[in-house]
Amino acid sequence: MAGRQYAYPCNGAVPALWVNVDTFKKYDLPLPPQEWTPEEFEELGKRFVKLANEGSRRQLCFFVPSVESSSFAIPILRSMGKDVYNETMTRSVANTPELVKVFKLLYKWTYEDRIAPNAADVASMNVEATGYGGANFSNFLQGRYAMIVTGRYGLIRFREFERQVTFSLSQLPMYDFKNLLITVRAAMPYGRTKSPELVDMFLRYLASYEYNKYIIDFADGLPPNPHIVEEDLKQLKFKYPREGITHELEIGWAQSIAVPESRPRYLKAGTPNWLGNSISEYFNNRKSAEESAEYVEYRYNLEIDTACEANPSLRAIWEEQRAVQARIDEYKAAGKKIPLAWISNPFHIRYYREMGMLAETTTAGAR
Amino acid sequence: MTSNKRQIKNICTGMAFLLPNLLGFLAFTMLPLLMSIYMAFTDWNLEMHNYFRSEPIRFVGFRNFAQLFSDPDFGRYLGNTFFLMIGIPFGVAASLGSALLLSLEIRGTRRFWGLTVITAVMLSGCVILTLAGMGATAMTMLMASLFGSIFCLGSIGGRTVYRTLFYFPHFTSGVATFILWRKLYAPENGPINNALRPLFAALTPVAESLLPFIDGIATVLLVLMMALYLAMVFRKMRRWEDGECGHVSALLGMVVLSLPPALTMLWVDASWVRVAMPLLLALGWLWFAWHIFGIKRIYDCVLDYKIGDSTIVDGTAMVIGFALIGLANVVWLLPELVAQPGGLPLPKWIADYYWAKPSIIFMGFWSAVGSNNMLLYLAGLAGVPQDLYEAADIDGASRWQRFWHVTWPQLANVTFFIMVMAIIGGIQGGFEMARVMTNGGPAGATTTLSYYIYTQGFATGCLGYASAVAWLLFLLMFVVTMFNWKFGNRYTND
Repeated sequence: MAGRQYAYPCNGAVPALWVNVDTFKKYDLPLPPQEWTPEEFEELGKRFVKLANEGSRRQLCFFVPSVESSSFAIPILRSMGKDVYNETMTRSVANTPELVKVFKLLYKWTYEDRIAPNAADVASMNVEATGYGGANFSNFLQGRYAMIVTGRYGLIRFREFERQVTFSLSQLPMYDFKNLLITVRAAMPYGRTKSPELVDMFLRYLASYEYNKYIIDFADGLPPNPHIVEEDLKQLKFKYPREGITHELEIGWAQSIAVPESRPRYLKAGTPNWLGNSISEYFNNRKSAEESAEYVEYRYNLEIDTACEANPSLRAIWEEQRAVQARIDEYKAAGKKIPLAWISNPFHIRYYREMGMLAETTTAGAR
Repeated sequence: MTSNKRQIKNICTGMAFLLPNLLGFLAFTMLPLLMSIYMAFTDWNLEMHNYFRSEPIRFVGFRNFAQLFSDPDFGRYLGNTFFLMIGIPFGVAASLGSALLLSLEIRGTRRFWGLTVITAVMLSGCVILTLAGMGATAMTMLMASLFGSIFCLGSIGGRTVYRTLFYFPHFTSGVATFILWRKLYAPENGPINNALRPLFAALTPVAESLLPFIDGIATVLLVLMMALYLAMVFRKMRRWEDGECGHVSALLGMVVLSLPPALTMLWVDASWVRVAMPLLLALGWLWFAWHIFGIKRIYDCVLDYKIGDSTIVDGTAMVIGFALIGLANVVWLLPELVAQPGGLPLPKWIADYYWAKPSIIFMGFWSAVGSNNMLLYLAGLAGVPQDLYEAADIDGASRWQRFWHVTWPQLANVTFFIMVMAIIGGIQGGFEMARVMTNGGPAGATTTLSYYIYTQGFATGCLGYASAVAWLLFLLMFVVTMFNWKFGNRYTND
C-alpha cells in the first residue's frame, strides 16, 4: 500500500430509530416493529401523541424529533428505488415524484399528524444541551420523544444519564427496498508518509481485538473489524440488559441493508445540504413540494457545474463519467444489466444487485 | 548636538514608539486587505490549493464577480441585508428619544415615596396571587413592580441610574443577549408570546366580527395608501413651485413615493388594484411632468436642493404606504387566521420564515435604544446653545416646535454621523445574530451577506469567491457612504 492514499475505518454507525420501551409500556402501546411502512409508523405515531399529550394545554410529546432533515428523507426515498444522484453521480436526478411524495409525507407528519415537532415546537423546548444529539437525548430519556434517530454511539450519552431506560431498535419507516444510511469515521494515513512502519502499527491496532473490544464495550459506534469480537457482542445483552439486542441488530443492518450517502466527488466539501434546505423551503411555505424537488436537482447540478468549471482536472473526469452514464442509460433503456464497474453511486450498486439488474464485473466493464 | 541631528533623533524616537502599532497594522490589516484584493481575482479554493495538492492558483479576472451575479442566493441575501436595515431609522429615532428622556431631571422625594408604596403593594399582590395559583397574572404584576422599582431608583439616583440602565445592552456580550432573545422569542412558552396570548385571545372575537367587512376594510386601507401618495406628490410639487425642492430631489421623491403603489400590483391580488394603481401612478407622474416641463417657477434652486426631504420625509411616507399594504394583506388573511384552532395564531418569531427578519429588527431596535448613538445624542444635546431655547420660549414656541425648529436642526450633524455609521454597520451586519440565533434560517431568511461571506470562505473553502463578495460589499458601502456624504452633508447644512 506504500505510496497510495487509502483509509481504514476507526468506527461506524447505522443511524436508526432507538425506541424508549418504557414510554410505550406507560401508554400501553405495542412496541414498534423492526421493519415498518410509513403508514404503520404514522398510525402508531398518532396513537402515541394522542395518549402522551392528553390533558396538556400544548403538545409536549412527539413520536420522533424533527423530521425536517435529509437523513430522514433519504432512506424513505431510496426505499422507492430512487436516489438524489444518477449512477455515476455526475448529475442530480432528484426531481422525481418519489421525492415529492417524501416531502409531502414529512410535512404531513409535522404539521397535520403532529407526530414530529416543527421549528416552533423545537424552539419552545426548555432543554438546552451541547454535544452530539443536542437536546434530543434529554427529551428522549424524559419520554417527550418516543424514539430518536441515532447510532450505537448514542449509548455513550445514554449511559451517562441517571435515568436509565430500556431500548429497542427499529428501522426508519420504509417502502419496499429496505435500506439505512451508514457513516464511517476513517483513519487516512498520508500516502507519502516517511514512517510507514508507524502507519502499519497503527492500522494493525485498529484491526486488533484489543481496539475492537474497546469500541464495543464503550459503545463508540460500530467496530471496524466486527468478526473478531463476535462472541463479545453476544455477551453485551447480558452485561447491559436494558440495551437488549440493539448491538447485534445495528451490526447486522450495517452488514446487510446499510448504504452510504451518495457524495459526488464533484461537490465541494462544504456544499450546503440542498436537500435539507429544500425541505425547509417547503416547510416554510416558500415552495411547493414539486418546486422543492426541482430546486434540489437544480442546486446540486449547479454545484457540480461550478466545481467542474473551476477545476479542469475534475472536469476531465466528469466528462469521462458522463460518457459512461450515457452508456448506462442506453443499457437501462434496452433492459440490459449494468456492469458494476460503471457505477459509482453506492445506492445503485446495492439496488441493482438486489433487483438483479447488475452485471458483476471487476474491472472496467470486463467480467 | 546640532539641531538637525536632534531633529532626526526625535523623529527616530517617535517612529520607535509608533513602530509596534505600524507593524501590527501592516501585518494584520494592510496585508490581509491586499491579499483579499488578489484573492478576489483568483480561483483560490482550499480544496484545490492546500498542503497536499500542488495545483497552481490561477488568475481568473472578473469570473468570481460574474459568478456572483449568476448566483441565485446572492440577490436573496443582499435583499435580506437591506431588509434588516429597515430598522435603522427606527433605532436612530429610539436612541434620540432615549437621549431626550435621559437629559430630563427626574429626582423627587414625593415621587420616590409614592412609587415605593405602589411597588410594595404590587409585590405583595404578586406573592398572594402566586400562592393562589394565579401565576400568569402574578407575572404581569411582577413586571409592573419591576418597572416601579426602576422608577424608584431613578427618583433617588436621578438620570445617572437611567443612563446606566439604558446603556446596559451595549456593554452586555452580544452572544449572551442573542441567546436571551432566542428564549424570549420561544413561540409556545416564551415571555413575549405569553404576554401576547391574552391579547390575541381577546382580539379573536373582534377579528371574527370583522370577517363580513374584510374586503371593505382592506379597500379602505389601500385607498388610504393611494390618498397618502397623492397628498405627498401634491406636497412635493408645491415645495418645488416654492423653490424648496430641486429637480433631482423632486425626481428622487417621486420614485420613492411611487414604490408602494407600483409594488401593490405585485403584492395584492385584487382586480381593481391592477386598474387603479397604474391610473394613480400615471396621474402622479403626469402631474410631476406638467410641473417640471409646463410651469415656470418664480423661485429657482439647485438641482439637489432639499434632497434630505426626499429621502427622509418621502421615505417615511413610503414606509407608511408599505405598512398600509401589509395591513390590507393581513386583513384579507383574517378568515384563514381566525379559522386556526385556538384563534388568531401567535407569531412564531425566529422559527418562522416570515417573522424571522422582523424579529431580528425588533431585537436590533432594543439594542439601539441604549447604544453609543444615545451617548452621541446626549453629548449633542449638551452642546445645543440655551439661548436658542430662550429665544424660542420668547416667541411662544410649543414643546414640539422647540424640538423641530431648535433641537433637531442643531443635532443634524450628529444624526448625519450616526446614520452614516449605522448604514455601514447595517450593510456589514447580521453575522453574529445569524450564527447564534438562527444559523441563517429558517430557509435562509436571516442569512446576510456577511454570513454568506463566512460560509463561502470558511465552510466551503472558496476564498477567491468569498473575497469577491467581500469587495462587492465594500463597494456597496462606499457608494452608499458617498451618497450620504454628498447629499446628507447638504441636508445637515440646509
